Amino acid sequence: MKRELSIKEITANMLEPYTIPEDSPYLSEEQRELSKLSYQKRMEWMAEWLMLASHTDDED
Amino acid sequence: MSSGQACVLLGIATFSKDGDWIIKETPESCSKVLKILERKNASYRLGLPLDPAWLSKGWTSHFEYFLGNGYRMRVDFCSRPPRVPDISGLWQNSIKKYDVDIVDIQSLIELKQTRRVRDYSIIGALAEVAGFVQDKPELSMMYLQDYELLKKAVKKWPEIARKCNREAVQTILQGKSRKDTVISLAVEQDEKIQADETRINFYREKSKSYQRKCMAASAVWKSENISLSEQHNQLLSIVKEELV
Repeated sequence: MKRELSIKEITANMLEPYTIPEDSPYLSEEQRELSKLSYQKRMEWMAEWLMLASHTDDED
Repeated sequence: MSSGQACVLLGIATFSKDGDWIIKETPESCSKVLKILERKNASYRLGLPLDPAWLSKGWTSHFEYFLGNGYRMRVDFCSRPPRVPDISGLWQNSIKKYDVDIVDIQSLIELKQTRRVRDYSIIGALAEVAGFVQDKPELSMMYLQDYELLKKAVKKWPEIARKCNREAVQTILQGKSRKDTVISLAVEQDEKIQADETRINFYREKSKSYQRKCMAASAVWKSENISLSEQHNQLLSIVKEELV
């Protein structure tokens, strides 16, 4: 019988690469890309967006 | 790390500007955070001083500082996040990655039940991934926000659906119309939005005169370049007089 995963295990799994279903009503192509990345790469993604936001603010 | 940035690290949000942190309500923890923020030339935004006495009552502290390129970084701290009653469980379930504790998915779902409508898409996304990708159907059943996926969840996990006391799940099980389920989901969401609004209004009402004094102090901090530690001391005095 398959062991039920704990909330902590689920959370840990989501910090590793995983695949979002193609037909997700909540998530788009960008999240599908992000979810396939490692934790380290997701942190880099976040930093990149922050950099981009700083330029957007300049233009405003 | 919690809220929006935790969502990015969990792979379900692509961007978050504000940093939301849950800290332990100890003098050491507060002092460590204040030291780090002081080194960054941070200032207090409207909120309570970062002190265990106020954190333990559910209040929050807000700061901002500027990066070299002029970008404004906003960081918020609390020790008792709303809707998460078991604080020790919160810490036990967090995942440590590179010295950062990341909030668990269930607590994140609770945290995200705010007055902002957009947060319910995040909750739906977390519930979808938890159930359909990570095999935790209870979370899907309790927190999916749309009809189609909830119906799919009920069909896939009928036993769990039968045990679930959520009204929207029961309307599907009873074969009621799509409209009934959609209404149930909308009413449920609106109740959560109202509950958060009530919570915020409680804190807002309680702190009206404190807020007025803080805003006056904040204007002086900016013009006279007052250090964060001095700002902190001033806030501690104001809060003592204005907030009982």
